[in-house]
Amino acid sequence: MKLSIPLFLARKDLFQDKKIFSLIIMAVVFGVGIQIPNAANLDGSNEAIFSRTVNVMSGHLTIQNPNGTDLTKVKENEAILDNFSWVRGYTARTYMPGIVTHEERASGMDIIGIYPDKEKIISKLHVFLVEGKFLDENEKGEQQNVTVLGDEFAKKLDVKVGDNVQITFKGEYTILFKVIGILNIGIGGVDERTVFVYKSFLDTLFGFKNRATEILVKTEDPYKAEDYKKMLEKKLVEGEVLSWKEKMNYVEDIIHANGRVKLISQIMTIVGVLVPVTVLMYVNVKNRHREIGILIATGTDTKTIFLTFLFEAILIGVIGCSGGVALGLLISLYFEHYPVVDRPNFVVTPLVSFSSVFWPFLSIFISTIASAIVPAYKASRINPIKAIWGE
Amino acid sequence: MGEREFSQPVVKTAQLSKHYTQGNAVVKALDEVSLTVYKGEWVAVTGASGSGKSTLLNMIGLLDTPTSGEVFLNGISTSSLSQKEKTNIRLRKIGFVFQFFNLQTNLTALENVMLPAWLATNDRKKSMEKATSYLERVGLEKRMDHLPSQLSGGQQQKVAIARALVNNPELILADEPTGNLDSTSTNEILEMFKEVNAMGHTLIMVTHERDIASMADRIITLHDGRIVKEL
Repeated sequence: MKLSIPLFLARKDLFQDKKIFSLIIMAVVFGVGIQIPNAANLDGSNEAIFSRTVNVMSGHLTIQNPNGTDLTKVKENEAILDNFSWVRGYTARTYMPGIVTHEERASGMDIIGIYPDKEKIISKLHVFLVEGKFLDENEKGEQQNVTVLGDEFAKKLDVKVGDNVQITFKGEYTILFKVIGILNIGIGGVDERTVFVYKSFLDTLFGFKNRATEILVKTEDPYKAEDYKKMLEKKLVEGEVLSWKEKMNYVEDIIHANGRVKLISQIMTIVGVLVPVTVLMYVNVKNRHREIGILIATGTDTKTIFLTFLFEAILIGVIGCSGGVALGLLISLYFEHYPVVDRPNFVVTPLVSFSSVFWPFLSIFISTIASAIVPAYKASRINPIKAIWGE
Repeated sequence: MGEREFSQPVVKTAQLSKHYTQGNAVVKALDEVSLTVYKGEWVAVTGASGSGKSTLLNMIGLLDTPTSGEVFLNGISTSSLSQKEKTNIRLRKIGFVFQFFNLQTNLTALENVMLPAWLATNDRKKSMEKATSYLERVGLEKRMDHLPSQLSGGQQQKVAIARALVNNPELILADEPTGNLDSTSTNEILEMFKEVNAMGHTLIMVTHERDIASMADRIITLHDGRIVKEL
């Protein structure tokens, strides 16, 4: 097949009618260019929600006792986790109710004992630090009674970094803690009612050995959490496994809803591109009706005619989609500086990824080619006599 | 033109008819036309408007299919040929020259001439060389890169002739090739057709001008789709 000939004719035809060419290109450019920041913003929204909820509160998987009591074979369970290649990290936490008092003000809180180094991998709590510093195993030295707490709570108790607060555990032990950092997570009530301390401090205080309330597990792919759960459940020494979808099902609902919004807008964009491009391709074929007839009369086969218009669509797709990617990235850059959601404690910036660029590119590219198929077929079936003599 | 001897049939039509229906009426655009055109012959087809001249040319050029009868090219029946085979014959064996030049407006003179050669050989470089030499032969070596819109009517028709000749077809079909030209251009084009015919190309030319028809070896006159006179 002589592909170079239809490609040559396509190139020549495309640049003949600059008005039609520009209109078609614009339709494709805007189709891709709008879809990319839209997808990136929705992905960014998912990421913002996921990182502030699942990562912080449950991990991709949570190992815990069904009756709410503490796990007592933590090391054995962790040894099992080490055997799975899809486990990217894990960390044990101890939850304990307590009362935090600062000057005259007091409030009931969730005291969470953590391993800061492991949390940096699993929950990335340190990222949400807005003031002071995060707990650090290497720096804790002799003073282990330090704490990091949520900013809403800090406001409520009028606590600042460097202040001391009293924490009463189980109504038995009251210990003075120095506040070294304040967090702002933005979602999930953490900012209002959570206080983080060294888990090792709690273990020593209460004589806990090999004990934790739960183990948070980070996996290779959070969307395979259900499969990982089944694998892990069979091997565990103690406790049950909950996936983030079970523990934080509202997050899955939000991500699912965002996925639907993305799909609907994708379909709308495809239709929005498909219709004008088809119409403009038709107009192009109609305008060139006579010349196509002459080509057929002088020995151009129908396949070459069909391919000419198909190649036009491919060229339009390549030029338009490439321009669309550039426009999409520019718009995403704009949203990077002017986020669609910009609250003091919750900012959604576009998450430009391979997927947020590739799928709009591919879907519009395929739509552009699809929109040319019928006009190209019609062109290849033009009756030369009717086209030349108008009979 | 003096008497010439022709013996090898290139085109033969047998009882060729083309009927259309317009409402309840049947229009006989061609009615049982039997004609033989020989290799190297110049045949002029004349007749009033609507007499069936162009329809006959379209049948011979395999652009249209007859209602009944047959067209033979070099002794081979064309009725059973596929569209692909007909297209291939049009590309390699037949050259078309139209009244309104009918060049591709988005292609330069060179590209217009090159295209049929490229389609036939799939060799762009050789096709370009061939097209260049044909354009030189019709005196347009300085206009090769011009678009049709940048050429005069006479120049456009010269490009069309070069396009018709580029695959060295044995049959040239010309439909009123000077009908849209001034007298100077008409003379130039007719001289060119003389040369083409002298080179051995068989020429069937539709015209309603007697002077032009008289240059042919044979004049066929059509009336209401039938051959009424053959000189």
